Formats: sequence, C-alpha cells, structure tokens
Amino acid sequence: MQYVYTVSTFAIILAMTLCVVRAVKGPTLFDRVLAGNAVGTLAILLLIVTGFLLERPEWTDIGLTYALLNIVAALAILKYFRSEHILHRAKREDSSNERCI
Amino acid sequence: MNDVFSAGVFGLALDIISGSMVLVGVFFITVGAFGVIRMPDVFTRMHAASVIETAGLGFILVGLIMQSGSFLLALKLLFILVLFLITSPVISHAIARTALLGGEEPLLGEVCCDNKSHTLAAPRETQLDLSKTGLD
Repeated sequence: MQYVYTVSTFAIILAMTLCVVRAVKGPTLFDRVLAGNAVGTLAILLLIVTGFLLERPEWTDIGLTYALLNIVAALAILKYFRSEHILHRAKREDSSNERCI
Repeated sequence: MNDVFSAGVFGLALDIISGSMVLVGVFFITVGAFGVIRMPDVFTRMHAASVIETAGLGFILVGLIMQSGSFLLALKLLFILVLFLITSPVISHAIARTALLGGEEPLLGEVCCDNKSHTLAAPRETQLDLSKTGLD
C-alpha cells in the first residue's frame, strides 16, 4: 500500500500545481475562487494521504478542521463579492438614470 | 489493523480493493485538475472542479476507510466524506449564482476547439434572460 500512497501523493501535488496556475492566471474573480476552493480540497486530501503514508493517521483531524474552514471561507468570499457587485450595479444605474432612491 | 482482517487472503483482497479505489480516485483528481486548466468558461471549470470534489475525494476516502484499522478513524473519514457530499453542491451553487450576478454569461452554442483559442462559433439565438430566473 505504500506505493499507492506515494503515487497518490505526487498526483495530488501535481493537481494542486495545476489549480494554483488557474488561480494565478484566471481571467475573472470567480475562477480564482473556484481554483482556491479546489486547492483547499486537494490540501485536505494531501494531509490525509500523507498521514497514511507516514503512519500518522491523526492528521485526519487537521484535515477535518481545514474542511470546515474551507467551506466557511469560500461562502464568505462569495457573499462579500456578491454584495460588492450589487452595490456597484446600483451605483451605475443610479448615475445613469439620474434618479434618487 | 486487527489480526483477523490483516491476515491471509482476506487482507490481501482488502489491500487490492482499497488500493485500486485510491488509484481510481487519483485518476479522477488528475482529470479534474486538467479540466480546471483546459476548460473555456467559468461554468465548465466549475464542472471540472466538482469532479475533484465528488468522484476523486469520494473514491480516495472510501479506499482509505477500508485501510483504517480503527473505528474512530473510519468515522472521521466518513464524516469528511459526508461533509463534502453536502457542501460541495452548495459552494458550486454559490459560485454560479455570484458569477451570474457579476455579469458572467455562460458560453452558448458550439465552441470551436482549435487548440489555440476558444471562440464562439455559432451563438444560439436564445440569450440568457436573467429576469426570468429571479436573480435580479
């Protein structure tokens, strides 16, 4: 089983590299959020698989904590930028129509 | 691992099954990461990232549950699996909704793939109507 864990560790690191490339390159903000979320998921998997490889399965607890943080972080970032877009759109429409709300 | 499970033919069969499941999960993870790089649009990239979070993580965690000798460790892995099965659609939905509100529009029609640029070859006549979806 050690070979399987080693192979999966390197494959997960490769996938994380590709997702980081998309997060740096991504043309829109949503690409970056998406790629950051995927990097978080892959980091959890890397923690768990490396814990099994080094015979320290207690690292699963850290993975569990990181999973909870990942979800909350993604939802908070999306909520923040959603209100940003709504505010900007309201300002644009307000200035173009020249009407007061 | 318990002596009953690790010894003999049963332990070998368990190793083979769980190892092949972990390798299938690794295959899905690699495919999903290449999809995140190669796909032309936010919404299609979201599909590729969902492959990582459901198929890849699911197969790897089920394979590791078979290898975890203790009940508590298996329970923790199962909890991570159930957590991701619940929250991954929620995050995908939130990203899609925020992208639609932020002005992104999905590519409709046939996408011509000539390995250099992804351009819209034949746009469909029906445009995305945001007023019908109740997003505005």
